[in-house]
Amino acid sequence: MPPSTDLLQGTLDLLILKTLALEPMHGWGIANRIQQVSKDALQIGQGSLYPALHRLEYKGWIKAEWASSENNRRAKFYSLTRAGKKQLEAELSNWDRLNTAIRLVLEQI
Amino acid sequence: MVREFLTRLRFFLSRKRPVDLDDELQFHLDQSTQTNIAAGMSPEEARRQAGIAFGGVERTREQCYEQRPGRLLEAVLQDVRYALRWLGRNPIFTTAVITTLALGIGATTAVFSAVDSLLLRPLPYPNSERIARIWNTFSPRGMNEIPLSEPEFLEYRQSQSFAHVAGFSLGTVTLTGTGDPLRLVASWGTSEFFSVLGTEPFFGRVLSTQEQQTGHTQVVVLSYKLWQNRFGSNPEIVGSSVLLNGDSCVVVGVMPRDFKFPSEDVDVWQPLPISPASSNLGNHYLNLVGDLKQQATLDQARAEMKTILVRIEEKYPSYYNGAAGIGVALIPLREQMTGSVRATLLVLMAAVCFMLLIACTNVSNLLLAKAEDRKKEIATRTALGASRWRIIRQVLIENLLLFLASGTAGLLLAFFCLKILPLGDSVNAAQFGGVALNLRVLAFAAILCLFTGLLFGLVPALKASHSDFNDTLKTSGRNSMGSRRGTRHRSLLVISEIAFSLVLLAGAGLMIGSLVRLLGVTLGFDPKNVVTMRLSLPEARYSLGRTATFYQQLQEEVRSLPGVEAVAIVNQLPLSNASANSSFEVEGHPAGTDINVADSQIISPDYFRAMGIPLVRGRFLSEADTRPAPMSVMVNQTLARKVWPGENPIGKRIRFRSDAPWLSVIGVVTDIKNHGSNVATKPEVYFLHTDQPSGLWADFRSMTLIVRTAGGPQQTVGAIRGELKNLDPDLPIYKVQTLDQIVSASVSQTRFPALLLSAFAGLAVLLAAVGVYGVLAYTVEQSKHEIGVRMALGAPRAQILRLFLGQGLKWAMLGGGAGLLAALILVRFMRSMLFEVGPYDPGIFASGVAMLTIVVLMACYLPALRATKIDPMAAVRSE
Repeated sequence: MPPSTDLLQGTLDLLILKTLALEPMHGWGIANRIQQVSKDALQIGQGSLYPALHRLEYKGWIKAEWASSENNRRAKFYSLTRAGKKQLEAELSNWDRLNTAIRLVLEQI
Repeated sequence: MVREFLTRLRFFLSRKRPVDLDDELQFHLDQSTQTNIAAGMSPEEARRQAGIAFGGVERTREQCYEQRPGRLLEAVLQDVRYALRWLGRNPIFTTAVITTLALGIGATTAVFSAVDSLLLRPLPYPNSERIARIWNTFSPRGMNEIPLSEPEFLEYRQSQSFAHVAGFSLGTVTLTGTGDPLRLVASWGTSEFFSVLGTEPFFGRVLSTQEQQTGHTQVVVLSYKLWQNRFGSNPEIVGSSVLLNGDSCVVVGVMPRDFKFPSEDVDVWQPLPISPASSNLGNHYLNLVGDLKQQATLDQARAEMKTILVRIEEKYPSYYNGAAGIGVALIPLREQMTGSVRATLLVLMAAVCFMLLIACTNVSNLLLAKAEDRKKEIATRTALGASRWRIIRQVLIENLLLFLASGTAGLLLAFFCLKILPLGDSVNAAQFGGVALNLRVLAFAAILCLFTGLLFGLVPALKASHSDFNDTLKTSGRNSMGSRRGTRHRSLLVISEIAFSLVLLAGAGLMIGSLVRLLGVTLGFDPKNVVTMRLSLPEARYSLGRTATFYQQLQEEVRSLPGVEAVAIVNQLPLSNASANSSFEVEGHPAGTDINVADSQIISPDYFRAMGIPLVRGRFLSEADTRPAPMSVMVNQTLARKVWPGENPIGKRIRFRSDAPWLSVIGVVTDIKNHGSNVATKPEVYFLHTDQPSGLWADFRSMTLIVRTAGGPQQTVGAIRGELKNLDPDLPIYKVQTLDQIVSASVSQTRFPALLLSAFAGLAVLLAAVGVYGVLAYTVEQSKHEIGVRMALGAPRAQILRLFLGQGLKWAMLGGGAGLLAALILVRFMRSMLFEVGPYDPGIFASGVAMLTIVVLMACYLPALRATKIDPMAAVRSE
């Protein structure tokens, strides 16, 4: 399994927030969604996923609720809070700035 | 930010249930398994693959927990709890550490509080850092602080370097009209007096310039203490009148509580009018004080004052003629106030720091030994996954806790020490607002505690964390040879302890030597069973004639009291730090060839009998000598020897002013130590107290009554008070002291540091002995196996004993040598505190070394003896 820790520091948080912006989701769903959308390029191991989820929850950006899953099993669903939406916007613009900056450097040199 | 904080706080207070996390992870696993089955795997294989992909559940769970807010705090609290438990399980170790450190920190804090109040804390006057005292000096007679005369003051006042220069004098007045008559200490100051100090009154106002004009001076400013004690803190005191020496004075203000200039016991301030035309050059009664202008330096002021002095000498050529060697001295106020105490305090501070170092070294030793014991525990923890940082943190927290507990105990100790010990009194701290535990002292103690805790706690912590757990677990305590490095480290600690102790021993020895010599000085009078008290007759009611009659009556009445053996009066009691010296002329000696100066004492005929001063030749003065006019005086041996060497002084004549009559010497008495045991006796002339001053500048109204009793002098004080009340009910008596008390107080400058240094040195030696004992006992314990082998191979017990005693002797020699070097460098700072003992007194140093060596050998003897009692079979087999 390719290492998922190659992600930039903080990028995992951004991916999780972005994924949850669409709809509330459980951990497995989040990992799956990111893997699918990235065409298997990004595989999020549970070893980093769950600590990240807990960290975001402690920060108050996402909240967790137990609900029934697609196959009628009890699962923990995460959703964005208001603070989380604001954080997502902030992190997106941050990401853009960083992206532009890196591209500039790569093209110039 | 706030929201995030609140969320974190919520989670911090209410934990998630661990089941939640387990369910969540289980769901993930199940979901993966389902997907694998859907992809065509068998259920078994699907679950296996899912598990492999998932990885360590336990680790994830840990990591999720670690995200919890306050996780670090929790861990630290856990460490603290563990540390407390561990310390509780080792009560002897804990008590030993806390006691040792508390002694060190307590003593250091107590001494520091004195240093703080005298040397660090700003004086309670706004201008204090720029205030200097101004004196004249006269090097030919070794006089460093001569008060100034009015004409001199008027010149010095014009200085451009000082913003203000004020003159003041101190004396006493009697307060009457409100209850018992009370003798007050009064300060009379010129108009600039309050401007120099810059202190605002507590309320009311200070003295104004108009009130310095003759005729407007019936005003007074009260001290806070007097206002509180005598006037019940009456807020309407300003504007009312009080009776001072029988004169009505208007109260214009009250000074704040900490305003204690020029002396700590001053009660009232009054104006001191000085006429700009004053030409009285002979009366040197003014003390000068000035505050430098912002831009002026002390050196500039000194230079300017010198030029002013030249101007004065040119202005009054006849007075200063031939007196080459007059100079002017400017002394910063704090220096003037701390004086000789400064050196004492710094020496004590250094001593107490040495003691603290020894205490810390001992504790460090204990901690190291303990760390050795814990090697296995720590190795086990490391093996179970504790990080190095975690181990260091654990040990550090334990040590900090120990130091914190010791610091608290030390502070309490310092607090009680300051309550019990007269530390403040013996350094005259009252002027500085007293010695107390203030915030700065507390901060000092806290920093001391933390610093020592980190410094002496970190080394053992690092050492503990460094151990290779693999090795430790394998050897399982089989370290009979002892690690060479550990031994060297501990030896170094012991040697430095011995060295520090020697420095303290040398210091204490020098002080004790000085004290012994000081106490051995023959005072020349017999202080046993003598009580003294002071009286000041108000000038308004007592003419000189009435004064003489009053004192005669008083002496007669007191003489008739039961148990009284002799009664006398004197104007200045020996050791009272006050003296009036005057120059005199000798009949037959050409004037001006030799400067003859003598202390003049005014006495009643029975003075020598009351004080127990023996006659050398001639006869004592008697009542008959006062009539018709006093023509006779007595002198001491020093004067007789100096003025008439090899001649019979009886019948020779002297006079104190060229217009005064000649006075015949009728008797010579033995020298007494009038100015203290450590001051050489000065020439002295004794006059009879009469109604005819015969050319003497002296206050005949203020006298000290001396009463020698058969026993229990204090018991006659009540009766004397009664007699006094019959004679004059409005007369206060003060300074009621026995002569013994006065003598004992006069050596306190030496006795106090001697006692304190001895206490520190004693503690230091004790601590060093404990340290030596501990380290050697530990070494013996560690080398049991080796000793066993040696004995089995035939080493006699005496050789084993010699081996360990030799180790102790080596420490003593090395430590003693290092200490001797350090002491030789350091003791010169004590020079000003010593009396008749050189700072390099070989006897004292040798006995210090000898004493320390004996103590070290004694401390070594027990563990060495235990080493010889080792059963070789048991020792060799035990491991």
